[in-house]
Amino acid sequence: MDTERELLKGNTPTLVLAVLADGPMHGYAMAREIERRSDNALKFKEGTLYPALHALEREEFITGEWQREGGGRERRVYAITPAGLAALEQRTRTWKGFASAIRRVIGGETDAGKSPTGTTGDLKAEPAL
Amino acid sequence: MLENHQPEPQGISKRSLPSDIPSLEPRIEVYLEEVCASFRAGLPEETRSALRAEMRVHLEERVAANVELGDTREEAVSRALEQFGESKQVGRAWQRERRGTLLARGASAKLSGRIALLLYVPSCALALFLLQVVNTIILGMSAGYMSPQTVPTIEAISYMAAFLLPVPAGLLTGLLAQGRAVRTTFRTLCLLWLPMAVCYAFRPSSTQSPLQSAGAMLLAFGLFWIPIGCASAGIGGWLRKKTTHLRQRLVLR
Repeated sequence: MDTERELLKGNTPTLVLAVLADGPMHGYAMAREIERRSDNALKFKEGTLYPALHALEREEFITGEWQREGGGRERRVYAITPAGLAALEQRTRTWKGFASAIRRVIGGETDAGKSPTGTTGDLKAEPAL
Repeated sequence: MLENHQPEPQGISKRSLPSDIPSLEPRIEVYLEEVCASFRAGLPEETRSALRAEMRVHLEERVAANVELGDTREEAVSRALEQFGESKQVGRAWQRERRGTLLARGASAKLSGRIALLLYVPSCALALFLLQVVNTIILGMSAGYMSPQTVPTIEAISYMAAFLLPVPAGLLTGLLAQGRAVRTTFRTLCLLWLPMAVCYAFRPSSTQSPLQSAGAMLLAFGLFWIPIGCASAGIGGWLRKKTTHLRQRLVLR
């Protein structure tokens, strides 16, 4: 469980960028979207999303703006920047390479994604990036 | 995609800061107080208040969603707080982010310093060269090699060396540095103040004593270069912020 948490913690910025690549969103919607895309496999403490958003905004990978919606509720909506898209591309490449290497080592799989014995290994819950 | 959570394209007003209205649920306020304690020292009041408001909106939405799923209000709040994470855990995440910010700020200050130095050292060298040209013209005039008609040229070169050269360097520092452009420019110019005076004092074929030359340069640098350089860096920084803001607006549209 701790390993899973650590992995998630390290990859939260990538998940946020991946979700924002589809359009502007506020924090709560991002948390829901990550859960939805991962079929509830990636459940993280939602409060830890905000430090990650703050860091990404500082790095100018995302921008945030308060918006008042029709019902009067104010939300901070984030959008990915061109620098953020480039960072996402880079991180996705790194992650895919890393995941593929790990899979080969622990699952005995080939690059094609199949093990010599024909099984698919245990890394089914890999985040959809 | 969660279409119902996407920002609506119409009927939205954009604001820089939210109204910080406390939640009707006291447990949420107590929780936010605990979380915010972790970054109280490091962030300005305005930012803290905005972060608190943002997390409050999230928690209230989570409570509403939990109620929709069949929880009582009491249960919904408890579950929302649990889903948001223990206050200590969230606080630790903020502290990690804070450390990252400080490191990034240090790196950015270092980078800004390098940019300023890279721009001001050639500017200073050019200013010294121009002043040497002026000196040569004056010597030529006193020896009778040059006519007094060259006086406007001398004035133009002197003005350029005194007033114009720090402007592009300052503007570029402001535009290229990630932040603290004015402070960095001030430090850089202070660093170059004495070397400039020394170089000017011991320039070849000077008509003044080294002490007089050094005094004149110290005065001119302090009166013109430092204020003009800092003001230009400020304008450059302002332009950078404006263009960044414009980019952000375009992206959000």
